[in-house]
Amino acid sequence: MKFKWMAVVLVLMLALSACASSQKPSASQNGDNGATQGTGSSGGGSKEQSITVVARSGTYYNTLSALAPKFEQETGIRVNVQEVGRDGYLQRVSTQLIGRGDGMDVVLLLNNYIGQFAAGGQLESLDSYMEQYSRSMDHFLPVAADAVKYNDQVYAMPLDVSTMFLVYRTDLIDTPPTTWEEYREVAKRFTQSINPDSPTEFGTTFQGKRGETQPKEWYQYFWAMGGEMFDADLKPQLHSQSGIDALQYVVDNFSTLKIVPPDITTYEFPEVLSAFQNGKVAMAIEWNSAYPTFADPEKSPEVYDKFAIAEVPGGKSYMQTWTLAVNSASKNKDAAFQFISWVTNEAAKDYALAGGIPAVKSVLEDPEVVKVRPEFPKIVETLGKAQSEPNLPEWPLIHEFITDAITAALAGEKTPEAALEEADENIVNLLESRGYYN
Amino acid sequence: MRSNRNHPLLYVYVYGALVIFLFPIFWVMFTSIKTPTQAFQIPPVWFFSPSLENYREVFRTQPFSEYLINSLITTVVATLLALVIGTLAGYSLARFRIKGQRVITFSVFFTKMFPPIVLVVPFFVLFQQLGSTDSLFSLIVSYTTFNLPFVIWLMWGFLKELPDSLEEAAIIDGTTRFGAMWRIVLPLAKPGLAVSAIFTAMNCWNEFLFALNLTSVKAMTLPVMAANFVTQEAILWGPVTATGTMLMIPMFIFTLLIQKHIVSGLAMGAVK
Repeated sequence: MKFKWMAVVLVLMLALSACASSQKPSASQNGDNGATQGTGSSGGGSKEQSITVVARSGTYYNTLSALAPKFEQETGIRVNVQEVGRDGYLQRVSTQLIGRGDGMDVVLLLNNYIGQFAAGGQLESLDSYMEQYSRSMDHFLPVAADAVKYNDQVYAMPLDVSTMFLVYRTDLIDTPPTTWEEYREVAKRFTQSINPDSPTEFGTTFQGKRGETQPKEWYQYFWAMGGEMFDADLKPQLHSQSGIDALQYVVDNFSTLKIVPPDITTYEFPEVLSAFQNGKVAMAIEWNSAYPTFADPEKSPEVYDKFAIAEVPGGKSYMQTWTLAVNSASKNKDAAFQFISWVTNEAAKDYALAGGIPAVKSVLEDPEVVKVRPEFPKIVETLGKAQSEPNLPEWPLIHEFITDAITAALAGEKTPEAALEEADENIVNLLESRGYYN
Repeated sequence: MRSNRNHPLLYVYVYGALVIFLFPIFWVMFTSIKTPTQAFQIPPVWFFSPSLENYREVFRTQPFSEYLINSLITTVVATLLALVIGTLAGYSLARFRIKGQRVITFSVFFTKMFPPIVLVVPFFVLFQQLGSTDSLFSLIVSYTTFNLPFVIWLMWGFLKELPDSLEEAAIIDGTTRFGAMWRIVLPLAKPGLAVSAIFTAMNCWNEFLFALNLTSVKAMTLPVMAANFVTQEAILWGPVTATGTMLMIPMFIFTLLIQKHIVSGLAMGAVK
């Protein structure tokens, strides 16, 4: 008897859940109309195609969804842009790529993830599509065009380039520091615990949160102090004099000199942005994409008219590019390729005017664009000598080892030397197990 | 002893603790009615004319009500499923001699022994093969599985404490085993059910990891939507706090409604 009852209840419950899941409401994706008319205005007799693009919320989502209707007009291919918040973005995209999900056709990815997903077969090689549609990579900045290749094949199109700048307050600092020693001296001058007359509480910041950007800021110290990530035999060189000096430098700024806020181990792009925006610090090393926010009188009433950007001290900037890649499990790869090559070429100027920073040199130097985006000439100049990370499939793991080392050193758990030694060991073991040294 | 109960220090302690616990929640609500410039002023502004701008922003940029419905359906169905299956399982473990009982009770908890993130990719692949990613079905199934161990253990422990004699009497009087459970045992087990319901519902309502990874658009729930306001450039604190405030309300009401059953259950003591 009891089993019968249990069975009845279970069946009822399952039926209920099935009902519930079948009445899923349709969410409109990029704000405008959810349903399209049956017949497209262009595209002839072919049936209506649509692709899904996944992008991080903020600039990338906003610009891509602003451009989508134009692409639809030109080609008849509908583009749904989905937004995912910053924190969960890579998590979701990795899960759905690795799980061979076909829910997304185009993925916005950071260039240093291309190696991993290209080697794993999750991304579609674009070479044959480029041939078919006679597309080239010549209009891109060379450093960006290189960053999307893995094993000499193109796996993505660079959509947006990012680099870091020194942002400083022009009402406080006349000439921006050009070396890390000068940088420290200026920062001391604007730290209240060292100089009680300082108008700002702290001299500068550091993006110390364990994770995505922390090592990227640090590389710029490391490179400027003469560091190289790998030697000719692909042996890591973090545990070198330059590495130890660079990490010691950051740790001293934080724990001995206290010229950065005490909570920088929670700082990343948004926190650094708001610290500078609110006049808490006199300088910051920040991503270039912060520029429009700083220059906006409404968003940054305190600093919008008294800040400037300069090259990162030491002159060795970090560069990365957000790229658009095609999911190899997608059912609309052809349409997906058409979209990404259009967005990064024909639409690059519109993309810049909508708030992005395309990797297209002619657009970055276009007078009409520069009028609206005065920081662009500086970006082109910086990107000419910027460096990016090696495109190894193992890079995301190596990144973890390095961020672990920096985090441990900042927390005082390990000396910079011990932390970097361990990072090097981990990297060697990893690369060895993957057969790099055979 | 009696005089201690009204000792003023006791009140100071209780209210002090309350203030500390509730301050972050108050701050979220307080920030949600400020404008972006007010939100970041240091020292904080205490007096201002409240604005609903952040709430409007949430409704303007996100299909809030659709995600709210998703969240509600997922939470209600998963909680009911977990309660029904968990209570029946707990009852069986408490009442029947089952071969390998120890293995069963132990293995029930096995899924709780490693962080859920380990299961994200396998679950995604599973649902991808079933053709049901981005569906409420996938979320309901996952949430039910994750909450079952807790419900089973709680109900098992709870039902074990209730004497068999009550049910035996009922069965002798002519009801079935299930009837005895339904009419006699479950009413006595109300506090256990209430606690399970509150915890399960809260787990489902606030769940982020699986909602993030298993859904794209159609089945998105409110916590994932709230995270969309953490953008590439900035955390939009206004809309985040507005969403947070709205997210709290249903759980607040639910807990208030269920709470009285916990109290009445504790007062039972009728059997011994």
